[in-house]
Amino acid sequence: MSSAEIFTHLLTWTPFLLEGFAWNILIAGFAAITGTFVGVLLVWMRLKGSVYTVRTSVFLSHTFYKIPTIALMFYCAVLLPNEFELPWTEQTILFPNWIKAALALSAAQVGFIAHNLIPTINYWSQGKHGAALLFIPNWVNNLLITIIASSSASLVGVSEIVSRCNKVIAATDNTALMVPMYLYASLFFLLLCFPMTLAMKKLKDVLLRQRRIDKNKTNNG
Amino acid sequence: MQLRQLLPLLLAYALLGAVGQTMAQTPKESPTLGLIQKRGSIHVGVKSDFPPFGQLSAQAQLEGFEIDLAADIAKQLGVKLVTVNITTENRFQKLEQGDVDVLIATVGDTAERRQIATAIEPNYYAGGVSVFMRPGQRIVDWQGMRGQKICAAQGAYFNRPMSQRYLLDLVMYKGTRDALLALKDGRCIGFLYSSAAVQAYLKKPEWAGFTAPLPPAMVAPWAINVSRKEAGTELDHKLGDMVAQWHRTGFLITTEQKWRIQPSKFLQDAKARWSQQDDTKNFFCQRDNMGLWPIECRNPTFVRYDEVGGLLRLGLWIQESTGLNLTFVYDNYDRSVFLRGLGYSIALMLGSILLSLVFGASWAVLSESRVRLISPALRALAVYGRMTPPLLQMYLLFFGVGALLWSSFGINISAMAVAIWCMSYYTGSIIMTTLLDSADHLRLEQPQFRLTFSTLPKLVVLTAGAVKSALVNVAKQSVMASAIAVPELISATTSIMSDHGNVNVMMNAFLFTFIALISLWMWVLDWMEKRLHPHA
Repeated sequence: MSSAEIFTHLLTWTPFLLEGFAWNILIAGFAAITGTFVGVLLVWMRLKGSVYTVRTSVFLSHTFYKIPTIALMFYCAVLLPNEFELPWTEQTILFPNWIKAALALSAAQVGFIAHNLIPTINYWSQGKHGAALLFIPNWVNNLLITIIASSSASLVGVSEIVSRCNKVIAATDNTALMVPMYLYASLFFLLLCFPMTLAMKKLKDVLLRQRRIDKNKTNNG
Repeated sequence: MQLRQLLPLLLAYALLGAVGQTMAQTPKESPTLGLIQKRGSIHVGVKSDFPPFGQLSAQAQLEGFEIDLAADIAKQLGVKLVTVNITTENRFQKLEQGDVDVLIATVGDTAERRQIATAIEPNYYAGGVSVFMRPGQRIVDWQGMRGQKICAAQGAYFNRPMSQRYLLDLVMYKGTRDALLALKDGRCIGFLYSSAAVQAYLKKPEWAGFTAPLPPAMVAPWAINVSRKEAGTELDHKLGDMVAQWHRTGFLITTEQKWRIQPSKFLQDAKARWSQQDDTKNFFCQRDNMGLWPIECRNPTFVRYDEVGGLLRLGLWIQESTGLNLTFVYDNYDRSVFLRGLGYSIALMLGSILLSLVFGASWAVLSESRVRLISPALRALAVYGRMTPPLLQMYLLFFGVGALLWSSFGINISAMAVAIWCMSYYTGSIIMTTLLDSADHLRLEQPQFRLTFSTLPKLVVLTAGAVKSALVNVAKQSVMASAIAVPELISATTSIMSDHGNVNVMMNAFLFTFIALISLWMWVLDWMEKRLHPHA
């Protein structure tokens, strides 16, 4: 196959792959938001609660930190039901595999929040706003890691970009397409993550400089 | 132990043996067999609506795989065969009422049915669930079915467990007919149905080009049944001996071929097991004094805990009293599969942790070595490495590059090596970036600092946390290797639970074992950090 042919092939399947990539972003976004919410809840328990809630929170934070997300993904996909009925109603709610995958991924996010939010809150209350704001680039970087990890949802049958690559390769029965196809798919991730990482690095530099200025101020004052 | 202490034990043992010997008796007399011989004919209940096992010929005669078995039984008993057409709904009723003496009618061997009838051991065939597939599909194993759209008929007992075990995307239809129509229209790539019925579809001209390439799953053996009052009688024993002989001579396999049924693994395995002989040319599968076949030759589902010893006994006891089927503990084969999976997982984790460290450290040092071109090349490689999914790298290397290497040089790359390599590339890139960042940071205070292998330890304190969490992460990711068929823990778990259906037990055992492994690596890494930097 000539490179022109390969190129037209890739172009043909681009919308199909893009749709898959949107699933990756959706899954990662869902995981990041759910995980952040639960993580904030755990931190809040730790800061405001009684001895027992603090202990529970610490235990849960450690557990979430240890949980292997892809293993949990298999666990959720196999053991959670595909649909469930709302109590006292006839309404059935679908519980598709992509949500299960997102829930599994959110476990890592919970661990991240539980580990990073407390120092951030401390910095903020000490008036070190630059250091506290470092939380933002860290959170975004973690989101990027989650987007990359969302590709493992293909292992439990979610139709995201990697599984769509496999589908196209299998359906067109075209082995010459294999290497270009996978490289092309990896480009999607690279094109999203690289600029974001650069931007976050920039933001971090600015914030760190701010922190140094803060430090100097306190030293001089 | 002294001989004096040993003697009573030996005596008791000998006595028990003697009792056992005297208890070895000829089987109970069979009322049904008496009746059969008196009337000179045997009434066998068979199906007419289940081709090619039981069907009506062009001359409206009953014929098929099971009718051939019935004929052989009649021949061996020296009586005339009378086939009685029964249906799935009335078959046990006919047996209980005595309308038929023997039932050979695609009866799956289940515990409930053993309450109302006597199943003859050994089993003579095994049916399962398979997928009737549209032409031109390239899927060859159940793993490839994940997330595929499959038609199914509502109410089939296997729909739920199959979608659970193989993560199928089932599209439900009212009945078999609707599901088949949907399959024809291409609304799904296959139809999930009993493997025996799929056999019949394969023969019809209207389904030309359709295939059933997957080995049957949820395989359940079929049994010849006689009345429940016949348990342990001469008839029970005679029929059992006949089936055993069928396995040994290959009669079942030739009959299977005669009716052009896809060769079943069950019959191949049974032939091998039942023809196995010891040094003195005695068959391994022989009835004991009590008239029972050895445990290994029986349907393992119906072996009770008090019939066996050791781990198997404990495992079956737990299953009978709690319903938890811990096959991976008590079953020799499953245990070896699970342990092998564990071994592979540990090797994957260890390999990728070490290689990630090697990659990360050496790339960081090399890119600070100020050799022209090397530094930017390595940095670009690391950006690509940490911003693309390792799973994609695995597919790229294993299927893409692997296929090229195989077709051009005949080199076959190992899946295990590919998995370790790709996970380490991803993690190594992260570690390299961490090291370079902290070197930059250090240069704010020591502008002369340059990263070499000898100055590397200076960065341990700064980077230990980040490096450790990257390494724990790579251990967690090892599950990914299942995508390219490395037989690690999740692959082992899936294969055990698809044999036994103990989904809950296996998934929990898997997650528990995996978290224990992760905790172990965390502990090892903490220990290493302390060794490297005792004052931290």
